[in-house]
Amino acid sequence: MIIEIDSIELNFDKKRILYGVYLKAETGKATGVLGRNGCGKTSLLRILFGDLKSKYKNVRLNEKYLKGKLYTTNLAAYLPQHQLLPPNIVLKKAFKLFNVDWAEFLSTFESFKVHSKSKANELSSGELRVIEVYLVLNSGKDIILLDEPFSFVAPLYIEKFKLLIQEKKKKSAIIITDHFYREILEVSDNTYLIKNGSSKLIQTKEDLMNEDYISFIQE
Amino acid sequence: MRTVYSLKTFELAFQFYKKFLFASSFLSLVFFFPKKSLLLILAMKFLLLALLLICHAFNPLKQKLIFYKNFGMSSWRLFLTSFLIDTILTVLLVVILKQF
Repeated sequence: MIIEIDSIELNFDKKRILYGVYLKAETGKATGVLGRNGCGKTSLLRILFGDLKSKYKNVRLNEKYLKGKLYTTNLAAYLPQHQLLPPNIVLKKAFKLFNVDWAEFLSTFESFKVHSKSKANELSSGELRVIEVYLVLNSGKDIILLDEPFSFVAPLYIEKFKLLIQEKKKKSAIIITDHFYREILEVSDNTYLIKNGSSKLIQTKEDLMNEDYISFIQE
Repeated sequence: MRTVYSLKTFELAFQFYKKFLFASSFLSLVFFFPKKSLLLILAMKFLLLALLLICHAFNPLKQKLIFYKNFGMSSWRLFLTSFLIDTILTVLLVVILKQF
């Protein structure tokens, strides 16, 4: 599966947010998206998923123009920045709906055993984020969109998710955005920087420095 | 036809609908006792559901629909399926109430 998006034009009031973006993601690769707060990373993922309407957009799946919204094809899973799961849902029910095995989840995240009968609103924001990231990554969809999957997540779990992304990208095209640029650069095969409404392919940390995204390189 | 009405569609719609279950049952009772017709009760509920759909077109309520969109469900399909579930439950409730 190859997904491409370009010719986007997104304006809020009279401010142009996105207007020169090209992004390509494909099965076997994780594609990172970096950019400062408010540069349009989240809007880009939402436009791609079909949740946000832009003035123009051109989304192609395997070089074929996608007429409708991506989510209606049922090919994509999207982890938004905000809470994904309904507050009143029982966790095991959410796992069942996503066709994900609760026992297998516990084998990696043992500390969640106490939540076997919990509802989403009984978890801390960090715990809930772990569940949501795991569900979306294991949803089995061809395209996986992750908006800030590492926020609120403990460093130990971030490491586990990095490994999981490497495994899941074999069967899915993964697009990931986060403020944790080191993590994004580490897990991504291709990285784009969104700046001034346009995207630019980034090769190294030096490119990020040259684009004023980071001020110095920390090893 | 794509899985328009698979079991999962109903499971998801019920997940969404259940927070309105109490309010909906209450409305059924309120309209049942002045001997209003079932059709009128359903029409009233359809209008309320349409209002709810409009409310969900804007943030922050719109955000709550992302979960359902992850299963390919559009807002329209979610609300119409919820209405279908509500219709079945309303009819059942009215039939039960008529026994007394």
